[in-house]
Amino acid sequence: MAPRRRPPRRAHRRPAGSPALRRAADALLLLSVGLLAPLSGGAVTARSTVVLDLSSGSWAAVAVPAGAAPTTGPLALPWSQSGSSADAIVDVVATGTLALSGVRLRLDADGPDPVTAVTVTACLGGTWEGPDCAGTTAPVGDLTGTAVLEVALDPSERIALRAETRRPVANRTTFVLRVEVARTDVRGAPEGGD
Amino acid sequence: MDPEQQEPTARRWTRGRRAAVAVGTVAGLTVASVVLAGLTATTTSPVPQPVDGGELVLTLDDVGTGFSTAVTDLAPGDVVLRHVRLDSTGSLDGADLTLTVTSSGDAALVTDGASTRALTLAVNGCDVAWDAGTGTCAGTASTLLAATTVGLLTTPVALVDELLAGASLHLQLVLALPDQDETTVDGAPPAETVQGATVALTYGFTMVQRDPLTTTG
Repeated sequence: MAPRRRPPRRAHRRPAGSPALRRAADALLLLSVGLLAPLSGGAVTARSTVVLDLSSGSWAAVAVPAGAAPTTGPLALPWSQSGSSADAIVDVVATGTLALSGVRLRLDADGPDPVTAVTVTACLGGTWEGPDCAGTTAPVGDLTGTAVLEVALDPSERIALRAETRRPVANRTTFVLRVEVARTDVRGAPEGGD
Repeated sequence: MDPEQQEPTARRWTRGRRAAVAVGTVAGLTVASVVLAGLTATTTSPVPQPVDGGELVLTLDDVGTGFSTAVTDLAPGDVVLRHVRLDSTGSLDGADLTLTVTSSGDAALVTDGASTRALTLAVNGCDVAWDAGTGTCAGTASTLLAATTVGLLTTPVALVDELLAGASLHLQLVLALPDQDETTVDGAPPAETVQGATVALTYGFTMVQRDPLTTTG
């Protein structure tokens, strides 16, 4: 005699009986689930999630030869000697994503010659053609120390500067122009609703 | 009759009687149970008693910009206010509403190092809808979560004890990048910087069902 096979187990078997009886049994089943689930610690949870992308801005500027693409790093002033004076035409470019209210310029000498009075003048709204500005000139100051260029710069905007010294510049000394941007040179921090 | 034949006959009679008694008992019990079942069904289900499982549903809607637009170009000292509304739209009351914030991206915006530099999040509530344009509450505002570094919010923090079915929670999320001074030199930021960083913040609002009830009637 062949062995009896156990019939496959069904996940849920409807109770036998009349429709009314089945409804009563179903109700009892639901009631049991409703009562037993919380008692067994299976509390119901509801969850809502949402993602917010956020990025911080950056503030930076560099000095480059006039018209050149911005690169990171200091710039050795490209002096052009003319008699007893010399000048160098450079651009300062805002390379960050935040608008600037100004930048700080600092000139360092790498060589035997000291940093003597170097006067910087900005050409607003134009470029330098030799000693001539196609826009409006604005004095920046002397670079014997750190000078602050208080000119607003939007991201990627550039401003033309002319550095001039009244004494010959020896080739044995390199004058390096550095551009610093502090947090205080960035637009203010607004607060408000969205 | 041969006694040797009577004995099996008696045993068969006895077995038959026992079988009859058993069948009768089973039949009687079956009839009784059917009758009882019929009575029970008759008494309890002329009008079926509906029992519905309750629902616990939590939905989130933007108020104003809400979470619909990314925050960009955040600078130290900046504060961003975003407003959302949580609705308990199920039939069950909710309880123990918590918030978690997980993140992916640059850790500089999320985790403080030697100094307090990372993003902070505070949550305020208002008993009426927030004015998303001004960030003000025309009713009564309350602080649900004081400013906390975002990286510390990976474990749930409690916001409110209950959110009844059909009720709404008006939230103002205050994201802030602590003010700090960083100076870039010749286009290069300092070694530890919050500049140019990107992070995706996942906000999770979770509530559980209210405490189980035992009702009688």
